[in-house]
Amino acid sequence: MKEARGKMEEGRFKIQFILCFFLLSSFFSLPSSAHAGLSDTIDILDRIPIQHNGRVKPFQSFAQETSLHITGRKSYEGIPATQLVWNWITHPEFWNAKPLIPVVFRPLRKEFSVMLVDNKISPEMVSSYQPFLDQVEQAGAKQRKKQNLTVLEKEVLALYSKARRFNDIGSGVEPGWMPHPENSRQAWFTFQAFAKPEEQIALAKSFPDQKTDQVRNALQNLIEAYRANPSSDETTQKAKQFSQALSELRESGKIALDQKVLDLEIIYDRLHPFGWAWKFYAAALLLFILLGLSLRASNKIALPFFITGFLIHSYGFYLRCVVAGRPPVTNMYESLVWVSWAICFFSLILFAVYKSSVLPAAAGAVATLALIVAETFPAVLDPSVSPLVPVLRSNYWLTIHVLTITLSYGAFALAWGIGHVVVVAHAMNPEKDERNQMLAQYLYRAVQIGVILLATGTVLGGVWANYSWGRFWGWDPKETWALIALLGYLTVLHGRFVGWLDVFGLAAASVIAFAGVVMAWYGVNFVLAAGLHSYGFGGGGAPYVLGAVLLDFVLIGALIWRYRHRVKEITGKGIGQV
Amino acid sequence: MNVMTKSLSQKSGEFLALAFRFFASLRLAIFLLVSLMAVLATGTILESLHGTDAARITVYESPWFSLLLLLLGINVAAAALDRLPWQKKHTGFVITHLGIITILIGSFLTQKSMVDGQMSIAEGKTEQSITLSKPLLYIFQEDSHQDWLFELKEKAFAWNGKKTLLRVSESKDAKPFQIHLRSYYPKALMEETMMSTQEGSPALKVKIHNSFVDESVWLWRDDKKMGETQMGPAKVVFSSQKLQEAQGAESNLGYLELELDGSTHRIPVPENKSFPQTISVEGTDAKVEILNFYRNAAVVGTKLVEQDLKTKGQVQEPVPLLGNNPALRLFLRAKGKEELHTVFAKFPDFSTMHGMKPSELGSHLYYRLPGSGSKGQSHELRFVETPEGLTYQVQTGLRVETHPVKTGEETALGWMDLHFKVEQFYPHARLEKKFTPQDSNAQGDSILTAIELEIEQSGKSKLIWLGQGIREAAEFGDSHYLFMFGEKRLPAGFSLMLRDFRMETYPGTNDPASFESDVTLRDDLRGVVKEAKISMNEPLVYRGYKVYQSGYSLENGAPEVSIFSVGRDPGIPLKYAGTIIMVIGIILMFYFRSYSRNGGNL
Repeated sequence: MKEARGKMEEGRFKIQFILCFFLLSSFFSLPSSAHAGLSDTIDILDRIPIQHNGRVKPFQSFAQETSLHITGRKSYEGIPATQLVWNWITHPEFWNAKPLIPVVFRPLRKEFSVMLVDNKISPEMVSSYQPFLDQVEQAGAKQRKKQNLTVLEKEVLALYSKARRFNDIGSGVEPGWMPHPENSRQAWFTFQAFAKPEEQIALAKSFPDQKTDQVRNALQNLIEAYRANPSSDETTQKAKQFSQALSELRESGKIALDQKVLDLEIIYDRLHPFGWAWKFYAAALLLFILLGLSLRASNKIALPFFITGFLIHSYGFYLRCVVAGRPPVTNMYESLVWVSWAICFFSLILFAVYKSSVLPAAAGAVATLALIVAETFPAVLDPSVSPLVPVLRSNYWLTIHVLTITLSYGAFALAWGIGHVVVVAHAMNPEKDERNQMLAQYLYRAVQIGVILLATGTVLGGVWANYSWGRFWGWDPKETWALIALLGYLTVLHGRFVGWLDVFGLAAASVIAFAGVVMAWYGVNFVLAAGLHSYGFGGGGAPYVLGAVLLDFVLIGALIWRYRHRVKEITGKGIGQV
Repeated sequence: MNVMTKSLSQKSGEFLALAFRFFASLRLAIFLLVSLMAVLATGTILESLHGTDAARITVYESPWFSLLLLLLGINVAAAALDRLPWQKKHTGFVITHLGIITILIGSFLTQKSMVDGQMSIAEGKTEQSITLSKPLLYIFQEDSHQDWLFELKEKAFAWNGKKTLLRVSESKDAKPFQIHLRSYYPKALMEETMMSTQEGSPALKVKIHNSFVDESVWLWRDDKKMGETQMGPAKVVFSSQKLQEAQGAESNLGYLELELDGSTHRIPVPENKSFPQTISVEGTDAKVEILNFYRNAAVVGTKLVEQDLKTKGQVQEPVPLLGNNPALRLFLRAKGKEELHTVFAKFPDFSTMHGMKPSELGSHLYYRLPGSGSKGQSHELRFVETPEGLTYQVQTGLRVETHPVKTGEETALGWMDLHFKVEQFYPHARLEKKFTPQDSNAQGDSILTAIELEIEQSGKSKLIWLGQGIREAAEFGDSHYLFMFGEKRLPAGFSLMLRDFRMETYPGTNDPASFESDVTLRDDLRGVVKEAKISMNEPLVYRGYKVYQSGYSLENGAPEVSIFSVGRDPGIPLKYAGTIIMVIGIILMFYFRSYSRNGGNL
């Protein structure tokens, strides 16, 4: 009887699960392409392996990265990246005059004023407006002398590099299409090899003439067909021939590429696993709240969503590891993805121990937030897989150190999420002591996990630093802020020992202490931008992050005020006696 | 009396107990934690605004920061001792605190006896001392043959003031004098301006331009660095030696360029003549006997032979006059000596004498092909001061033209649409250096540390600026001084020879993926010779020193330089042990101490 019920429940669970999945997938499904011919062509072009930025990748990845770099998005006015880039290749003169490049920096907007359309500018304008080119010249000279650049100068160079990039694609300077047979690490031949005499010679030395002619003719045919009508079946045919010609050329040079990795990268590009993951987390969170956090109901309905999201998240992370050939935790985007994974991972472990839906719910909320941030600002948080600077390469200790530190960020982020729950719960119902104490226990555990991992990770950082720079500790801003974050949590824990913080105080303080983690994680790279960890540096978003942290402080302050008020109401005394 | 002693000891006992309570208190711990956080945060902000050195000097290496860490150590130790006798529940707590104390002792050891410096070695060169980033001032007074060495205290920010470094009393060789430090700029911008003076070498400012190049440069005769420069395709020289006219007519086989006794001679390779053939070098007693001329030389075995000039394709093409590797074999005879040279047109960097021997005659030989076919050959614009005034010479291939210079007038050079203009000419000039303080995180080619010294003698004084690494001579009163403001160097006890430096880039880019150096380590005292490869993250370890690959410097024309950071840190074992103990302690503490609602007590 019991067994049968178990089976039945299992069956119901499955049906619910599948139902939910379909419901959601139809909800979030991709807009299907109008033209079958065009989508076939794009699919063929997507899969062609090219070399760019120190890596062999499918054209699709190149197109997405390029579109992101130049236009700030992965598509332009509804045109997907691969089509967009092929439009540039086939119609450079037309697209050169299009306002493709967004100008975000205000002083530059002012400078280009009337040339802007929707705050965007055409590559043509950027590369022909003389006053701007003079600035580029000056900033470039300064950069060559290794002098510090002002923000304006950096922005000037960045804008110029986008216009240059567009021109490079239009004139076939990038990407590389044909590998060198003798040395695959050398720069691949670009389309320029068909135009420049010295490269023609090198190409002729590398491959039989017949094969290179075949590629050249196929390219010409493809460009003609594409110019005539990109959606025609003819274009599809020509794309197929072009792809075929390239692969025959590679065969003739006995060049073998890792097709499995290239295929996985196509899956990774198309699946958008982290976009899916947060949607599932968000759905789970919504269901947890709707079901009132009652364990039985949420276990059956909300939790499967959470776990599905987690599995997609894990798969996406696995794909990225394979594509990059290393653990992807070396820039802000990658660490956001990894930390949000860690949040969910720890919440599941704690869930296994304490069986409380609050844990996955809080984790779902924080992970959703983190992944939305990661996916929404590609211009700041670059999602492309890029090569590593020498000091980060192939190092066992580095991998362990970074993974441990970022895992601790995950634990603290979970504690931050639970902290909010605890603070809110206290502020709303300070009299429900039993429940509040339970919640505080989860928080305490999350903080403990975080402290152990952060202490270990910081120490491992010292081991690595000693191993590769020759000193254990050098007061580098990144390591100093990791220490400050650790000291912050230690202060909270000691404050609890000494009795200065009660349960509510512990929760409020650990929410505040998370600011230290935000500073160590984000602030050092994006605000302080100094020191040896400079390989992770980028810019942007500082006012927003600061605003968010301050808003959080204000929120906590308001909740503290409300909590004291409520306690006074109930006891008529103070909080000291609660 | 007895009573008094007793009460005193009682009192001091009470005081000690009170002090111990204070140092063991959790309140002090929290106070110290919060202060440490605030100080560290300030340090990182300082670093962001003013650079690493500013933060290091003002915060991390300051005495009060050490004091703060010392207090923390005392607090941690006292807190552990306060709970004696320890119970089982204290296990994690005691172990954690023991770990922290061990780490702090390790750091103290590091601070006291760590060596952290650099070795920059050019390919093929040997280095035996470690350069520490500690400023050092060397002063030498020539008249009294006395010298002094000072370690200067690093400063985080630009400093002006007066600090006496040296006070020398009357001696039989020299008058008494004093030297004061007047300014210390951790980062200064050095600007050099040419000044007209009464004596010294002449200088001129020349501007060269066409549609690609537009440059202005000072040339200073008799200065190694500033005497000549490369501007686009042209070599521009200010010299006291005139260019020698070529001997004889131009030849389709090119010419031999011979540098002998400071002057350059160009000898056309005779056409349609058989070799060997002897040619006298005009204006000297030297003779050149050309033994062989190779259109396309190849080494077979150990002998140089003429290789057949193959024509590509089946079509009959006329055989070209010169092949891929034209060469000359010749005797150079001068001053009763004879040297055999083999000169390759395409490889001007090859040693022309057998076995890499330097020429006893001090000669340099180049084989220049007609047109611009040979590497290292360039057009030259040369300025020479003659009794008639300043003249310029333009050399194109074998042709040399000489004309007087009209200052301020634009003149065409006749190649590549280049024009030049002498903007200024000083018959006697001096290079004046000017230093302006910059922010502590300034970077750039002409940014360096600089100090200003004041020499005081018999009531008079003179100010002198010193840039780091630049030797400076000064004359004051009747005395001559030599100053050198450099960095402290420490003998390493071993020497490193850089055999090869390699850099690997990411496929298809110029971004370095990794770099590594092959070195030979020698320790003559111990008779150790060791060959090793040092790469990123793979240091060489020798007698407590670790040698890391930290950087490189690649400049056109200069040999590759590999930069190593060399360090020794006796605190490391303690730090490692401490961290392991601490982490174990934390884990134990958390494992044993699950959540307790009243915060628990220790």
